[in-house]
Amino acid sequence: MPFRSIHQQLTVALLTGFLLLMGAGSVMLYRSIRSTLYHRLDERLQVEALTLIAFTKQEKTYIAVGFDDDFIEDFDEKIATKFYQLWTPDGGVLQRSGSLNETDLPARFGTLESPEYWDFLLPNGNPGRAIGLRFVPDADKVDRRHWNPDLQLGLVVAGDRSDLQATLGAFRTSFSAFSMLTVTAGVLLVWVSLRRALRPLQQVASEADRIDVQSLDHRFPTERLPAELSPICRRLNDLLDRLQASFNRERRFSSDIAHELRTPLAELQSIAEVEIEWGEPAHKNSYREVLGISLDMNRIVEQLLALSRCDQGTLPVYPQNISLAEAVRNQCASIGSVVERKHIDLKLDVPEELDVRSDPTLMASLLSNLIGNAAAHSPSRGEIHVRLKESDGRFHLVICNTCTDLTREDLPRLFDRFWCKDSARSMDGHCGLGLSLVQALCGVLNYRVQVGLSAESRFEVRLSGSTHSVSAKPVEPALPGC
Amino acid sequence: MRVLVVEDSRRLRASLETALTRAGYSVDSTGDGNEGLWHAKANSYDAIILDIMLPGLDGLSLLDALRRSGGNAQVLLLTARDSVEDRVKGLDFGADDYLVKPFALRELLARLRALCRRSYHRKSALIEISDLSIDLNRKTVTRGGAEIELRPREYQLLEYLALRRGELVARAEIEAHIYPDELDLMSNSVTSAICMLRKKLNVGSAEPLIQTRRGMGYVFDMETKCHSDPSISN
Repeated sequence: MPFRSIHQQLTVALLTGFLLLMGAGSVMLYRSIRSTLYHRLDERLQVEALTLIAFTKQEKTYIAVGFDDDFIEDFDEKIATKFYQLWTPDGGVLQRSGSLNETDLPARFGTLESPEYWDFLLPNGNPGRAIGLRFVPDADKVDRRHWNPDLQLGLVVAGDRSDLQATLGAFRTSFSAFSMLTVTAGVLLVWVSLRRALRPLQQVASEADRIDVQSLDHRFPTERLPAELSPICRRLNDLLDRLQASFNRERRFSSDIAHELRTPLAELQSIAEVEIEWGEPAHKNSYREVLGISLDMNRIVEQLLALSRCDQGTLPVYPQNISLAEAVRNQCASIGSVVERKHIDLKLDVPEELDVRSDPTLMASLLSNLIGNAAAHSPSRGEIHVRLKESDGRFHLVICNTCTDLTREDLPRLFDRFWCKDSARSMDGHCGLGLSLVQALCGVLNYRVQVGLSAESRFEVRLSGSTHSVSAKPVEPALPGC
Repeated sequence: MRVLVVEDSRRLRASLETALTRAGYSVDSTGDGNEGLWHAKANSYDAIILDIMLPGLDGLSLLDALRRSGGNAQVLLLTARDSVEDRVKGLDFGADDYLVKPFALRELLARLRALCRRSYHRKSALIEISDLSIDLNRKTVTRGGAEIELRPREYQLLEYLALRRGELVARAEIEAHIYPDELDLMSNSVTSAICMLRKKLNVGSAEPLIQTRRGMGYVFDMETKCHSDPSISN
């Protein structure tokens, strides 16, 4: 659709309709006036023809035409604004007006009841109109013995229609000017009227533009709205009320459930620790499992809480100057036991120093999830390569690990909450929230995270961000490939 | 050391009681805020472990009431709320420390030890008096390099006296701190414990550490042995 706004569509429709109506009306009016003028001209020609017919009589041996050019001055040679010509039944010219000056008029005839009218160019070069008919001249009243009812003469009377043409021309000019003025005024009137009339709609549109997930408390004003928009805005406000309540419930749910789980988790953990420390030796291993489960559950609760806070925009950010290089090295050191147990080849390509301005806690959480995931998901005797560099005021961290169970179809789902590849579901402490949290934290810190999978079964995560500042911005989707 | 636990979760309260008792503390506990305030005002505790969400009277209100009444026991708040605002609020109400659930028992015990040291104006976990060394964290005692085996109550008594080194500690205070639920008016448990403690501490050493002030209490301080006070005896 070329015009996407109601304003534009209405303007085009109204103007088009207006122009069409103006055009049709103008044409109809012009035709009516033209028809009237022509009708009057035809009537005059008919009167003149009938006059000439009245003066044409059948005599005993000849046709008597009882008028001459002096009778009607216009037929005179000098004035020459009207013309007539009479023909005998055999096509011979019986008489012509002096204005013709030996030229002939076109011989076209209708009947007395239905004469023929046509336009043509007069001998004087002016536009003309003619009437042509056949008639039987009447006999003299005194002697009707010689009257032949079959004796038909042909008569053509023509007149100048220059005046009519000029009148019609002047009318066309005036009407065109009037139409243009009317159209121009109409365009302005339509534009201004629509603009005023649609202003409430535009206000509603701009109000709607201001509403997003973070501003669900915004409501449409319902006072002084047109009758058509008022019920729509009321219904929208009702919908926003329900949507806001739903969002708040959903946000509180994650936060509430995490809080509610903390006390039973504390109970579970403390019972397990007491039994591990002072309980029956035979039960200690079981309680160690219980403690492990409670710690895993606590990790999920903490991740859910962090995600909830990211969603609500309430996660505090305390920017400081931190050594990202040292943080990366420390995190790599923390996976040392896993690396050793699985005989993973861990390579670090990290500069001696690389400082960034960021929140140390959130950065630690990011690194813990990314590097921890690499260690957890690498197969035995796999490789992990961690590269860190800085360029143009941005840090670039790339963590690449051997990965045999992911496919490219999995990549878009990696950031989904609680998504786990089947092979990862049995891994302790991994419930599918790690990368979701990474994505959410990147949104808070204005970092960019991308994932990719190479043909050589290497999974790669790229994390980049400004070394100078942090601010909340959205993150980008998955890479097409490493 | 005497500790009050105010926690409405029965299971958690039971675990804490077990852990603290095993760690050598005398423990009072309740699951109600009003009852907790009554305990805190009626007794002298070295530390109070206080949950925030309590029936009857919430933890912060209890803490506020305790501080307004002049109670200055060290208070460690336990809670599921971990926001900065909640921590600041708790500390502003008069708490000395804050621990978020769930927690490691080891961390709770370590924080408790730190609070107890603070209540006796101590920063170090090691008390050294001449050749006697008391490690408050490991709950071990050595004299002249040799470790001295003490029963839990004996250690608690020694620790209490050593933390109040140089002060006259009344018998009633010892009873309240070390034997809160066990004594009647005729009990001589304190005397027996002091006697046993002296024997174990004084083995191989001529320097007595615990002096008796007859009718008043005990003083733990080697330096006072130089004073010629007839009321002082070993």
